[in-house]
Amino acid sequence: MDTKNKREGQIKTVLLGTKISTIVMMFFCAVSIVFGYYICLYSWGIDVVGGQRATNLIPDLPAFVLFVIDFYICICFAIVILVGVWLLLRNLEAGEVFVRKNTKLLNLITLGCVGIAIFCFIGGLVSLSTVLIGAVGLFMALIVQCVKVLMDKAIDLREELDLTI
Amino acid sequence: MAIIVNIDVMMAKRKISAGDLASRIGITPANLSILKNQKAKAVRFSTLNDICKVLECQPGDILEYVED
Repeated sequence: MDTKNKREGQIKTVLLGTKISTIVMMFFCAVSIVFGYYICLYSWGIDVVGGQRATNLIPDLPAFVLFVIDFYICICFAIVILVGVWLLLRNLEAGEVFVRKNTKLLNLITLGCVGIAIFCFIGGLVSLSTVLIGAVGLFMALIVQCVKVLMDKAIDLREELDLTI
Repeated sequence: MAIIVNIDVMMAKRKISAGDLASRIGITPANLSILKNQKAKAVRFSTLNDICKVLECQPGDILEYVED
């Protein structure tokens, strides 16, 4: 009984921590939307100083525009992921763990990760550092998809158990 | 599903109500309803044993195989 209470306490702490992290990430997304252009400019500046695109930005303007568009699209996917995570946490808090809607939310999160990966790889055409973020996105998508498959199996088992008289 | 549960036929033969049978077997009326409506995916031997005991019948009287 004591172990159970301890475990429940741990779960609550983890859920609370994840919720706070999600709120912080949402705040970062909001900041990125408002100051996205300046963030891109700053990142681009580092690239220009550190890379070979030495002197002026004008010949690289189309590349910079692609970079900014890519950045904003990635933020949109990040918001999709965060909304998915938020809804998932809400369901977990309500005690709805092994339900089909959670697997749909995990699919949504995977979609967000894959979307970010694709657009980061496209961004790699103009800034190689984004390729690394794309690889991380793909890795995350793989993990989330594995969890989704596990959850699907668990739901199947639960449904079968529910219909065993 | 090729296995048909004929528990309602046996219940009618023994003139026993669903609520009474459920309480005597020790399952909920909702679970008995799942069984009657062919929604069940599996039946435990212990449940089958109790059903046969209460309805005084054989498992074959309750379960029937019908070719699809």
